[in-house]
This record gives sequence, C-alpha cells and structure tokens, in this order.
Amino acid sequence: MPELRFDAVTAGYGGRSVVRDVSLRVCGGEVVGLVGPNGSGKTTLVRVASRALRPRSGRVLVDGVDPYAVPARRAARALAVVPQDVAPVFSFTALEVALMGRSPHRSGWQLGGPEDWARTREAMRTTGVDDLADRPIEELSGGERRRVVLAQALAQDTPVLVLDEPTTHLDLLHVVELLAVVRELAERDGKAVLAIFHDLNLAAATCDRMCVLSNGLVVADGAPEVVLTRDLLAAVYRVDAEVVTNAMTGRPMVALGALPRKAVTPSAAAAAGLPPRRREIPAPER
Amino acid sequence: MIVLVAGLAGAFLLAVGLGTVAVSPWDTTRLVAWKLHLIGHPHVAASTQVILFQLRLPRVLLAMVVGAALAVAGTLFQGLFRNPMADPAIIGVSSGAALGAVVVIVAGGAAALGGLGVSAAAFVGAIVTAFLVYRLARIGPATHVATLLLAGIAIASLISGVISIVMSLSGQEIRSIYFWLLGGVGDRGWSSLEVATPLVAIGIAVAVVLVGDLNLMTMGEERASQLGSEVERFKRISLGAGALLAAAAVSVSGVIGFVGLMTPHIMRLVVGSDHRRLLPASILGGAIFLVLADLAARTVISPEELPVGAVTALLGAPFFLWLLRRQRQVSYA
Repeated sequence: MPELRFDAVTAGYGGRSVVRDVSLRVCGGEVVGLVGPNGSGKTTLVRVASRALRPRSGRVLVDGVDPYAVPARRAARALAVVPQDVAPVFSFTALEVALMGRSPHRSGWQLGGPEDWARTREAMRTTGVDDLADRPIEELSGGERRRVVLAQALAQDTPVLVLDEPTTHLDLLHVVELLAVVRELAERDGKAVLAIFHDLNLAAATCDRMCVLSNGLVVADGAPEVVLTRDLLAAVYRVDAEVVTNAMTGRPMVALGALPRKAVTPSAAAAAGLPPRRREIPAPER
Repeated sequence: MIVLVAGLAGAFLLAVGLGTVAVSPWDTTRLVAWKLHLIGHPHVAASTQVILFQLRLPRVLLAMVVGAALAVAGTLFQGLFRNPMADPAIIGVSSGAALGAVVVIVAGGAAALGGLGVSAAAFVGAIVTAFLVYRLARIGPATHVATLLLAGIAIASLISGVISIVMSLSGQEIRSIYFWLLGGVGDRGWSSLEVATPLVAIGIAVAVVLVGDLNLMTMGEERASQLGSEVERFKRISLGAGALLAAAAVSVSGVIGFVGLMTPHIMRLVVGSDHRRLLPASILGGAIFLVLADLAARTVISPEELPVGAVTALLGAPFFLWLLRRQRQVSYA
C-alpha cells in the first residue's frame, strides 16, 4: 500500500527551523489536507517530501523509500508534485509539457514511446485538457495551465501525489471538477494524496483527514469534523468563526462572523477575547 | 531536419565554389570523393586543387565547426540559465578567451607551440573564466541562475577593461589584436581545424546526452528536480561542455558574436523548443549560418574582407526580427 510518511521531521533554511518535529502519515486511498496560516510551514513540508530540502532531523519516507538516499529519478517515480504554476521559459505545447511527466521513466531520447503517449493522453483526458494538446502553454489561461501541470504530474504515474494549493486561481466549476479528480485518484487508483489548502471549506469537503500546521508544529490531525472547531480557528488563524454543517454534504463548514471594524492588532485581539499569537498552542489531537 | 542537412550541403558547395577563382560544385564533389579514396584521380587543374585544399576547404570546414560549436554553446547556456540572453559572450567565456590571446600576442608568444600559442592561451582563458564565474555564482550547494548571469556580466566587463589596458600599453601589436577581436575563420589552415574539431565533437556529444535535462530545466530548477533531473550535476556538466565548445571556437576564430545567441532562437521558431529537435537543428543551423556569413565577408567587397562578426550581426538580426514578428502574427491571429 502506498504511503507518505514524515517521522519527526525538522527542517528549515539557514539557521531557522520552519517545521519542527512534524510526524504525519498519508496512506493509499486517502486524501489528507495540509492547512495552516501563511508561513506555518506547509510548503516547506512539501519541499522536504519532494527532495528539495533535506530535513535537519527526522526522516521522510515515500512509498517506503527515503528520497534523499536514492537518485532523483527513482524519487520521482515514487512521488509527483503538482506545483502552483509552471512557466517554461521557451514555448512548449501543452502536450509536450504533459509528456515531460514521463521523464522519470525514460531517458531523454527514449521519451515518447507508445506507453508514454498512452499515459500522457490519458492524464490529459483525466484533467480535461486533451483538446488543448497542440496549444502553446503560454497562451493558455491560468486555470488551463494548472490542469496541464496536473496532467504532467499524473503522467508521472506515482503512488504518492502532493498538490500545492491545487485550486487557487480556478473558477468554481473547475475547482469542483479538479477536486473530484483528486478524490478519484485516491479512491479509484489508491494513491496517497497530500494537498495544501488555503480554503478550509474546500479542504473539509475534499479530505479524509486534515492536518493543521501552526508555526511549524502540527497542532491538529484528524477528520475534518473533529479538527475544525471554533477554538482551533481562534487559536491558529486568530479569527472568530462558527463551524456549521453543510446541509448538502454533511461536511463541516466555516462561517465567518462579521468582519472586524479594523485590522486585528494584538490589543484589539486581546479585547475581543482572542489569544495572542505565538503563545499557547493547543495540544495535538491525534 | 532534412531541409537543414540539404541546406548545409548546399552552403558548403556554394562557399567552397565562390571566390576570386570559382570552383564548380562538380569539381569539388569529385576532388573530395578522391581524397576520401572513393574514386580515382579526376582530371582537374592543379591550381584548382591547391585553391580547394589549401584555401577554401579548411576555411569552410572551420566555419562549419565554429558555427556549430557556438550555436550548441548558446543552446546549452540558454537552457541552463533559462535565459534567452545567455550566450558564451555573456557568461564571459569569449572575453576570457580573448584576454588569453591578447596577453600572448603582446608578450610576443604568438609563435609558441608551433604557431598555436594564441589558440592555447585563448582556450586556457576561456576555461578559467567559466569556472571562475561558476565559483563566484555558487552560494552553498546551489548555483543561482541570476547570480551566475550577473557574475558573468561583471567578469566580462572586467576582462574587457583589462584587454583595453593591455592594448593601450602595447604598440605595434594593436593591429593583430584588433583582428583577433573582430574574429574570423580565414587563413587559419588545417592546424586550427585539427585543434578545434575533436574538442567540438566532445562538447556536442555531451550536449546530446543532456537533452532530457535541458527540456526539464526550462520548467525551473525545482520542477526539473521533481521530474527526476539531477540538477546540480546537470549544471556542472552543461557549464563545462558549453565552456569547452565556446573556448574551442574562440581559440581558433577569435570573438564572433551573434551565432550563439541567435541560432538557437531562430531554430526554436522553426522546430519548436524540444531540445531533441532543437539541438540537431542548432548544430546544422549554426554551421550554415557561419559558412554563409564568412562567404559574404570575403566576397562582398573582394578582394578586401569584412570582419565576419559584423556580417553575422548584419545577416542575423533582421532575419531574427522578421521571424519574431511572423511568429507573433501567427500566435495572436
């Protein structure tokens, strides 16, 4: 069974640790949402998994393999990343971009055999960009380009998939379609999927589990209805919000209260009864 | 690609044939076939044979080798730096080679190593500059592309300053230095070809192996790594191969601009950005470009010669602009 696993990972840049002692497990067939405020360490964790940032201590295992102990190609056959955007510096067609996802399986000149084309075409059909195949990537809309990048990652054909904010810049229909694809990849293909979300409602609607990062620590990890609470939103995001149940899906949903009259300064936060930043972090709920 | 191969053959016959004394393509073909032991000795005038084998052939073949080398070096640097402005001249390799040559000319060592002193010094200068720029741009375990380019520009400016100082201090050598800086493939003889060809062949062979990584690198370093490219190793190897190609070219022909910058661009507009097509196209395109440019340089105001670098700029820039405009019209139609 595919698995992405962080064991007590501490990592950062220069002398600073951005994530500390993070342990997290994503199993095959499961979509786990990684949420938290800006700067909480979500992207750092993704970089650790994608062989871009070696952990200072602890280790990461992708499908049982330490990516830092094997060549880049071997690691890229185990884990695919969907970045927020790609901008090739020279003009490539959407099909050429998607085909590059096959690179971990083929050396440069062998790329483009029958299996590569079949997998690439299938990936492009899955993300709904097969009709854009011959269009230059720089002429596509932001939403179309994101789906081409997703197709590139799917063509990689890996047991583990990591998505960095998959729905930003997409309109509602494309958000719904893309998240449906993500769920299908976990349920039908048995992939282990970790996705960074900024929108808590989309995360709650999509994920089997949500993992909340705050200042580089995991402060909650569990089913959306367990993790999303008024207290957690106040402690981690410093906003006052009610968690209600979406009548159509039965999933939890964040309903923001009235907007504050001015920006939340530390003193205003104290006056409103919100805890100050970087003080106590609730004990992890596992 | 077939069109490009045919174009190169055509450019070769044309360039070998034209000059103060014309050599027909038929005579050229027969004489070359004879030299390759394919046919018996043809009945061709002895003077024609001398012109072909002593003057035209080494010159045209050198133009092909240098053109291909500059174009491949440009392709490598543009792919490596993800920057359309990257070119052997911009990362300082050409300047380094020129400095090496200038120092040897001024020191009076031009006749050393059997007349190859200038070439050897240019080669040393180019390689040293490439690694110096690379070391300067290296911060921690990674090389940042922007830092590398800035370091290259700074080093190139510094070297240009040093060359100016050396030139102003020297007296009678100014003329030969001036001709070196202008660049050219004439009167180099077979020895230059023998020096450059093996080095260029090695550089191109390495580039051929790197095509997959070159494609992935267009997506950015981190994405290339996510797709299985060993990015740090790729950067070291491609920088070394690019420096080798540029050094080999500059060491035998001086500084010829424009070929390394423009050939990959023009070829990208023709065959697309996939390096599996772009690299072979650039090899052929660079060779054709420099052969024709050199042909123009020596025939337009014959018997005088123009600097070939001026011709490459005059030929290449309008063609490039035309292609760019045409591409735009297609894109936004």
